[in-house]
Amino acid sequence: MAPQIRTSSEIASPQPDDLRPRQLGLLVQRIGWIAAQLVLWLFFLSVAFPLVWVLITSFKTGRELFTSTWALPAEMQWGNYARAWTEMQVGTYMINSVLVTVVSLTLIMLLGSMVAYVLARYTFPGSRVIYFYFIAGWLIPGMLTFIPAWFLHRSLGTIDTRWALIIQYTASSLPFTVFFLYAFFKTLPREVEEAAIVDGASLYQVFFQIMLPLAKSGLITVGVFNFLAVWNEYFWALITISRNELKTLPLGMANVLQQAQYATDWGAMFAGFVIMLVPTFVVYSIFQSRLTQGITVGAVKG
Amino acid sequence: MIRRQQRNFIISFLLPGVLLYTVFVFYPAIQGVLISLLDWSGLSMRMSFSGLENYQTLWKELTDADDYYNVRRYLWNNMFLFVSSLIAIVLGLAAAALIHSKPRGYNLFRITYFFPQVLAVPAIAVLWAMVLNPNFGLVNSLLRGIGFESAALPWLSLQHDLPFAKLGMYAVAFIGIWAALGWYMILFLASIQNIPSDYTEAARIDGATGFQAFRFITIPLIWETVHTVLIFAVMGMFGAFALPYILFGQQPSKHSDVIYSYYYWQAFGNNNWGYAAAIIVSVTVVTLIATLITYFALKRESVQY
Repeated sequence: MAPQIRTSSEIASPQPDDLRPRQLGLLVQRIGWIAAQLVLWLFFLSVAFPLVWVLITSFKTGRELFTSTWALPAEMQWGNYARAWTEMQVGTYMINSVLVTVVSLTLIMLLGSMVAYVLARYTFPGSRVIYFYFIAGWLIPGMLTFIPAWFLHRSLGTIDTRWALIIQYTASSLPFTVFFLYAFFKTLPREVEEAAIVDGASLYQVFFQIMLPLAKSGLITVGVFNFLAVWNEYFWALITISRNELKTLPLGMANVLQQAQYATDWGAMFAGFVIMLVPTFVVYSIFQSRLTQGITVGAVKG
Repeated sequence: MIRRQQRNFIISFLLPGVLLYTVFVFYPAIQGVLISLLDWSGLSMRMSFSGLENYQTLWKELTDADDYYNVRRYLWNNMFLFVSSLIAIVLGLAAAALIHSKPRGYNLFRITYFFPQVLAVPAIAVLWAMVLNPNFGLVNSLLRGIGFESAALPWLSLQHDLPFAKLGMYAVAFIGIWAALGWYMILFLASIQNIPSDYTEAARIDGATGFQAFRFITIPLIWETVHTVLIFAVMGMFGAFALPYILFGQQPSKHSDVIYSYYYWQAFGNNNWGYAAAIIVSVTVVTLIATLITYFALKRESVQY
């Protein structure tokens, strides 16, 4: 952009005495540009460097952590990872998180797409009402529902079981899922369905064998957002799960920090943290562009 | 026959979702409001209607001359963190403007800045607790390494006084900004990239500085996004809980507790259900009003391009 400006200013004011302040301005601009670059790199480091440091530290002994914070590990302590997985129970937390997330996500996507599809394709008495009924759920603050929901789960006997998490995560993710997939199904052409019905397919076959594959891209985007919401959820898990063998990763992480006050196995603690970050890291590296596109769709014009 | 088939199809597809959502989200939300009108504490189901008594108690605690119940202190902590979220918006906008000019590392910045957004709050808390640890933390060992021994502070301390809040709360604010900046940057970046580039170029040719072009051309054109982002910030005004709760050892402290912590202690610590529900309903109503005010106060005629 800079060369363009110089050319146009030369056209506008060709006098040579005008050149000096211009050049000074360019110098200021240049310095500003370098300063800006510096700030950008600094913030980049504030994100990247702690993560790298944690990764490196996870291979050190606890003693090394205190004596040589910056050095590379003298010897790779793979044992840290083994102890984190078993003694710190990161393995248990991981299994719980995977179980809860897989079941919840399956239910959310299945039930959400079923509701969204019917609402997007059929008009019947009350169809608009049901649509807005779901959208309203988006405005309900979770905190408002937690006390009654807690008692509901207590009377159902699901409190302090994985079902408390699965059921609540599924139910509370429906508004967002229905809203997003409703808009998505609206964009899909009707002709394919009609042709399939003429060919004798049942309505269920049309949905499961034709529409769901067609909606794959929308399903993946919604799925990634729901994955993050369920995988990272903390408050509901905090108030419903007290048995250690049922805790999910967010609870486990908070545990790690609590233990840090007494425990001294720093190596295992860092290793445990690294293990806990791996799934998020993998999902982010695969779906990063989908995520950033997804959040801009709603908030940005055009 | 066909019609009946269709009807059965529609009902069978709607029913599971509608039932689940009604029983576990919608109905509890209404119950939440009703509970706030009850005198109900303890784990038994014994409760009695008490009208607005819970709200009166909350009002009394809020307006207590000595702030004996710390309610004003909690709200103060909320506002402290809310201001930091506004700073995150400004910085996110600045980052978007800088990155928009496609410096070297454009993609690297975009991907890295957004990453904290996908981390669970407990993960963010643990990461920064390690980085800011007074003994082995990255920050303090760096400061000691370059000879600033006195600047190596106990960053997560709630004893160390600073204006407005304790040092630990400044750390929480910083961590909050760190985590949110990328989200705002992505939003602003997308909307800046939507603007045809001849607009700002024309301004530059007419002699506007980069900053002027940004202030008078870019900002008005992305106002809709600014508006949306500010509304989201206001909606989340009282949303803090997990970060201070985890970072400061999951113990009550008036220096780090926010209004949701108070709700949490009242409900799941004291089993004071009716009162806790009243806190949440009040917070919801205040948030709603603040959101509406923001919505109308910042609404501008949208600029077409």
